[in-house]
Amino acid sequence: MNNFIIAGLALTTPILLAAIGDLYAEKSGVLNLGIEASMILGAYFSYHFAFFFGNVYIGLLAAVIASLILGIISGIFIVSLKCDQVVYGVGINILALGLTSTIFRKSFSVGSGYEKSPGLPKLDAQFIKDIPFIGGILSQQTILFYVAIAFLLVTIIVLYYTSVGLKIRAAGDNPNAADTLGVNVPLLRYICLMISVIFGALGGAALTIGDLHFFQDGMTAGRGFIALAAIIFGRYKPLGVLFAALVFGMSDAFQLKMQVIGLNIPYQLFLIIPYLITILALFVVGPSVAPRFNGKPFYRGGDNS
Amino acid sequence: MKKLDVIGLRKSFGNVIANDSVNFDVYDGEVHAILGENGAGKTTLMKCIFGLYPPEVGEIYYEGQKFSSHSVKDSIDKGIGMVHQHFMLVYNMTVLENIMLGLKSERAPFLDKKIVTAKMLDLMNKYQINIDLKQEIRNLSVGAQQRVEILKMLYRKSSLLILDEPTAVLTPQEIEELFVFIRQYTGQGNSVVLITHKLDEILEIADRITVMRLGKNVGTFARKDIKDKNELAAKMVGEKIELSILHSKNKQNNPIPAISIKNLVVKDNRGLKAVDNVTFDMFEGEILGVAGVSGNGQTELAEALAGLRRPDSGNIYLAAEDVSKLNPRGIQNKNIRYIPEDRHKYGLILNFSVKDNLLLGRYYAEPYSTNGKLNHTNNDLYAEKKIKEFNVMTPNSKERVEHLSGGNQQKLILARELASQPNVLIATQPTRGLDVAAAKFIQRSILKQRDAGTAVLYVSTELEEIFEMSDRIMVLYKGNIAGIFDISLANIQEIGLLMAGHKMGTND
Amino acid sequence: MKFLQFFRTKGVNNVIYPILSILLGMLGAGIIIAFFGVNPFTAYKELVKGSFGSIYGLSATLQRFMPLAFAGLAATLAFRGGIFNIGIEGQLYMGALFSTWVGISFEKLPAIIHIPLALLAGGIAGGIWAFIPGYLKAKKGFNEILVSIFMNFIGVYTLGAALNTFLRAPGQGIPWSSEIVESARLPQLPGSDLSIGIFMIFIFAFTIQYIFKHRTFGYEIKAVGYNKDASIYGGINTTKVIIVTMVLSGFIGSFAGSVEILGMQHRLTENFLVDYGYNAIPVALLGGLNPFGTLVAAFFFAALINGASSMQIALGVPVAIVKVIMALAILGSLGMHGLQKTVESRRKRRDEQL
Repeated sequence: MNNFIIAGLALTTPILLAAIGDLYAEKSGVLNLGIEASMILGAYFSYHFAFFFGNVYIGLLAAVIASLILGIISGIFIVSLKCDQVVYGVGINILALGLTSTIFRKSFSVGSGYEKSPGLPKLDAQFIKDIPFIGGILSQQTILFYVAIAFLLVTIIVLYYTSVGLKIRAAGDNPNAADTLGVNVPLLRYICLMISVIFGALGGAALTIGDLHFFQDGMTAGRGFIALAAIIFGRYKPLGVLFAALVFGMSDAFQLKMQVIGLNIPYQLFLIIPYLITILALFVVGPSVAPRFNGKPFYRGGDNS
Repeated sequence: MKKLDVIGLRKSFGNVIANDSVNFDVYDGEVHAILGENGAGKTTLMKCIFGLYPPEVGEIYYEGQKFSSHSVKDSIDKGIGMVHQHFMLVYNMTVLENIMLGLKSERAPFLDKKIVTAKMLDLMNKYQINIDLKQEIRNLSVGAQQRVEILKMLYRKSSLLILDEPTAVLTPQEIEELFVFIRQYTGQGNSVVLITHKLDEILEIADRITVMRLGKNVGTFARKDIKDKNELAAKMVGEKIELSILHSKNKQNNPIPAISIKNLVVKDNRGLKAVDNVTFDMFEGEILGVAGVSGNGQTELAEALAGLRRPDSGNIYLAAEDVSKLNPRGIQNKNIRYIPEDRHKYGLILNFSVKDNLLLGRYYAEPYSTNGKLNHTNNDLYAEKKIKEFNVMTPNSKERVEHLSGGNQQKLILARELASQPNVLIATQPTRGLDVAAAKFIQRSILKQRDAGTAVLYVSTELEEIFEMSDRIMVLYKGNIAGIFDISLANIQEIGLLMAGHKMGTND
Repeated sequence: MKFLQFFRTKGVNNVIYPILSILLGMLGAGIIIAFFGVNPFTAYKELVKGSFGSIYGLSATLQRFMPLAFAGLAATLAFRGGIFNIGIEGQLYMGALFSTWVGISFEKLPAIIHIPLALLAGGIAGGIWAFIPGYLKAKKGFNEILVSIFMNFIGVYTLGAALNTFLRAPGQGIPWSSEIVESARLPQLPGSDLSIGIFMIFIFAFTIQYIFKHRTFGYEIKAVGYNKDASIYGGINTTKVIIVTMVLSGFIGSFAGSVEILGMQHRLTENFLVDYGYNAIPVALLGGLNPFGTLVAAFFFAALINGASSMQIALGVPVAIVKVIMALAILGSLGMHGLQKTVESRRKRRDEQL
């Protein structure tokens, strides 16, 4: 049982990081489908640099730098040029997939088995192990798990208890109103996009150097969209997102476990869970919680109805 | 002391000059009303002052200081506040959060909810305004939302408030409260600029009045120099307006009802009764003008008649048939046609060609299509004919409608809606925002259609226009019929009073 | 819908932008190729040789063209109706799944019945898959983009689950289906290994174009795509139009999967066509949302995909480079339109100030 929860939390971490990061972008009014791109870039470059430098932290740094470049490009397209966010998202996802696959195949001899990179250490200090009940589980998680939890708490405070959080929420709900009160909506959306891609990349890194220690073409396999599903299922609220990420991560772990045991139920049915329950939840509770200007470019003096 | 001084301001949009060398000033402690018809440039001037539009030429001084760069933030920092017609509120946030948005917090980076709440309670106490600070905006009435907007500006220490048509959305009682507030506010040396076209309100509250026409300031007058409403109206329109009837009425002795509305109840988007148990007839060959302050149920009534809004209860009889449950196409098939208020949202598809727009609401029927196949030959001829007949200025029928001027767009809608000699025509604000020539063309076409026997419902918030066009006038107030008058017996003062919510005397 | 206006600019721009975008994509990818120590010109020559240099190459290009064309036409139809059908991936998977099921299930049906039955089963499945986001958008106001993306994953995993259970060939260790029976296989053009599915593409393209130009339904699709409110006012049942457009789009999209299986691969595997549903989006947009433009774009990308294998074999440049070209092309096109609009509005603002 403990092993199952350990695996579940390890699979929750990438989703949680990416989803909480992207929550900023969504709240500020950007529909960032490119979250899948940030995850695959983070997954690959952290692995690549960790492998060649033999140092996981250089890997983490590389993931962050790659995501910063992605964030600037996304900002230019989405915020400055006001391009269609969906078309951009589809395009950038294809690009990131193609780019990582190209460089991967050129840099590693694929076919000779997966080459393992160094991995992030588990935080198995004695004082963590000594925590009653959950110590054994927590001591098997990497630092990124703690980063995710800390980031979640910070996000709750930022979004609901600070001035900048107020501005972020206003930028997504009525950017023109925010604009007239001196809120720099474009700058805010740039920053939120940056937060989204950085934590998306860390989420990707959690998958490679945090968990599996190898890379595979397209290995994020839609986890960016699962992160989006977690935001929707979590009703755009940090704690809701945490709950959704836990459900999705655990169902993923369950699915892997079943493959190992070789039960007679096809494991794919469990991979469907995040998507299916998100659609069902939309159906039951209704869709109206998204920020009203989510996905729409901001034009000064434009329609604010 | 001058609070605000605008010198030689000019602003244009494309070829349209919205403001042309406008001079305008506001003194401490005064209420300065700006009066003008739609499209006179009132709102543009205010948006320039507030920093929403950069003026092309001209200088703006506030309390003696010139604006060098000018953003909304600069304006607010200096003490200018504006309450827009469409409120600038964040719908999914609380009143308090809306107040705090964009302000420096005393507990930065955290929010100072307690401090702001305390200050807000003081402020609300001082001005006798009551709002639940914890309530989300979407749960507030329109009047309450306006009070939040005003409080937002007061909290930012505005010493000049620009109010753009503030009374259009208010009940008479709320208007009275607003005026009490304005008097108290200006009594402390603050100033208010009031944009309106309601003459009574101006006479009641303003200290000075600036009249704008076609983008120009045509004169600023002290209230005490204005004798009465007629004088004011004359200044607004530019010549002594004659409230006589533009048209020769073809009086029928035995009018035939074209359409009968019985006990109609229609709800608005918020689920409130916008049209409340209304009964009236429209006759063939007659224009029934609907007078009323905007937001008194006119739009909902028109949309219900057009099939766009399902009535809550009641009936609409065309001959003996109840058409109240038909959808737009069903209504169109009964040859009831509709000129919508918002031509860009409803009336036209801007990316479509002139020809395709002329097919809207008609494409599915003969002769425009047969069994789902469009009859291009017929439709090309039809488009050419309508372009000529209604003098639509367009290079050809393939031109995208977004490239046409507002007047030509409206002519196109009219051409389309009149193409089948409708039994009933519902026209809502058909001349809004048009230049005089286009407006006259539209009005003449509608009069001609009436003479051909169509029953017309003519909705306008401009009382003068109602008097010009109507054979009978129906006054709507809060979704009820406040009165119906034959034009020969109608009196503009009385109708104005009814629009404002006065009850009709027993002797009427 | 803003993106419709972006990709349907009139006149020369409609040709120049896609070509410029593709050149940009090839330039960008060329830099990466050069980075690997391979001369990009040599690489592209190899690519062209691979896709056009021989009858075999051309035929392989046409084989890649077919699913891309079906999927691209599906996207074009939906996008013109203002519906972001990003769910074509799932729709083509469902099409393949049900066509395969019918294609292996009946032993003694005549081909004249078996083939249409198999195609129809796939078409209905794809249509239903598209119906779900369409219905939720039209009736409940849900965001069809997110729902259709989620439906993709559900579709892909459903196919996987099917291949692990009832669709799995008996006694096989690998999750794949039995072979499509002879009577359900699409006939091939004489002297080639192309199926008659290629005719269906042109039938679909002409039909879509005919609907857009001459049918009231086409008028309705375009009207709803541009302005839903005005469409309601104009007597259009927008709910119906959105749902029917989406279902038709899913129907056409399903052919990408079913024709691939019934006409080419003859056996369903888990990853029988990867990302073609997503690639349909650049194809449709670069094709100017015009059915024939879409076919041109599909052919171009098919040549890239096919030629890339030769390039990989000859020079070791990974196939995935094609994704880079495709993505840069769509992003380039998007960026150029965005830039043009931004510059225009800046200029307009400056002119107003003078």
